Amino acid sequence: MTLSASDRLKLGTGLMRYWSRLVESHGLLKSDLSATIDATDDWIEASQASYNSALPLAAQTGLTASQKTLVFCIVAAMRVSKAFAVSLVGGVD
Amino acid sequence: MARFFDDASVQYLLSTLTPLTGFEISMACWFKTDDLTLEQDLMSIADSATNNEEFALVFDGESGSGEPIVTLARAGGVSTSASTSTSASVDTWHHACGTWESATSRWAYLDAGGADESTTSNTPTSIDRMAIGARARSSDSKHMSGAIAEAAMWNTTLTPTEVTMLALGLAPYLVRPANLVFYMPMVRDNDVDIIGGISFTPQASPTISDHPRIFHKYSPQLGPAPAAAAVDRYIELMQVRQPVPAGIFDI
Amino acid sequence: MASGDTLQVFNPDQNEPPLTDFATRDSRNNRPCLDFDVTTSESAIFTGFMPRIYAGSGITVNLEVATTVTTGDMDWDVSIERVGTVQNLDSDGFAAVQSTDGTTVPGVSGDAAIIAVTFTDGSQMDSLAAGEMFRIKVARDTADTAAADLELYQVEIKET
Repeated sequence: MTLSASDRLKLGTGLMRYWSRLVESHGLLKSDLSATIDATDDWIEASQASYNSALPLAAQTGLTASQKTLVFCIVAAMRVSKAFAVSLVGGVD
Repeated sequence: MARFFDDASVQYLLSTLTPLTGFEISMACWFKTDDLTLEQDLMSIADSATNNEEFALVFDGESGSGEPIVTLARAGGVSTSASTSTSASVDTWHHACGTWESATSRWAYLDAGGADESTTSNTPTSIDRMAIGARARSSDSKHMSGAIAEAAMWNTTLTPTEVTMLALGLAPYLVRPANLVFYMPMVRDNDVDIIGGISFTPQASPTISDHPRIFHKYSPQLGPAPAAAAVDRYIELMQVRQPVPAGIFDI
Repeated sequence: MASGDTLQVFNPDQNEPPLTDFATRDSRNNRPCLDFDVTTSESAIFTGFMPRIYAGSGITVNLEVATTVTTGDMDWDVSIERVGTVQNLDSDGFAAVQSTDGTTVPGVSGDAAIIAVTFTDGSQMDSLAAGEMFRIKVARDTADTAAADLELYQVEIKET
């Protein structure tokens, strides 16, 4: 199930504040960012089956949907930066 | 922007120096915690060689008696403390203040209220370093989970009225400026004490978050604004020679 | 004082933050500023004194601002509260806001811009007169499109 409209809006607000704190520039309007979040959430929703199929069988059967989502997120977070991944799950040594 | 600390990542600020080593001490800061279940040190000065000697201003979410501010004195491994009768709320800016007048008197304040005194004799010794967002002892602990800003220390015991002034949002240099020995506004990652020049080393990269509501008092400028250096000099002069006149901020 | 002359200047540390939704203290390259949130309309309030040489031509409020994004526009609202001898100090009495909307943000993050908000003499200025205490409130209208905090570095009031 996709995120609610309210949660998507909150994500957008959070992102804009986060980038402002970092003094990190970007080239999106508020509406562009909102559309980007919508598209990302829609893609995740549509790709769930594909992602699950890509996982090893042990993970397909041994992890809950929530756990699989976390794995996806932590790998993506590590692609942002190690510090960001650490902020999510603690020590990443 | 205030400083934000993630306890899971063991983030805090550490200095190898301390502005004070003994009585009288007052510590104050603004804090916003995102975890009401942890004991979190807001400010502390301690003995770097042991875990047995320290003065600490603490938010205690582990106490089992609400979520108070605790003013801790630990000596020879024995802790004595005052604990406010009021509790903090999550994700909300609060003002914390602790005073240590002597071995037999320490007070804790939360938003200038819930005041409590502890009179059990205790005298920490060998104090040689300071931390923001953790306990500055040999083994750091009690890490902050949330934001801290406007950290300050005085070499005197602030009165309840002065604590109220701080809790109303007045910047620390407007309260007993002649006794202000440490003030770190903590705007973004400016981890420098603008009174004594003590610098801090960030541990594990603390981040930043929105700043609390603070009043800095200047006269309106008719004409061009002062340069930044002049503002710094103004603060220095205010602190050294122009204490707030008695009664001017009577509540 | 003549048209175009500066009457008053305010810096970020002169902000008297309201109890709620206040612009927050920040710095950029060690320059003090006030951050105005991207989705919650926040405000900053400054207390001033209208110089006795104000000639009654109205005022222009110049806001020195910057942001971190390179696209979009910003909307600013400014209002005046005449204190003098007419305002009960237990309440607020700001006149209707005057706005400057739709100003495109600078094309480079950190470039400064000046936003001019004009007030005619009289009711727009809450009938503020020379020799009177006043307050000025600066707020962001979050209906704008800039997807970042807006930063306020200085407020100048000049005679129009």
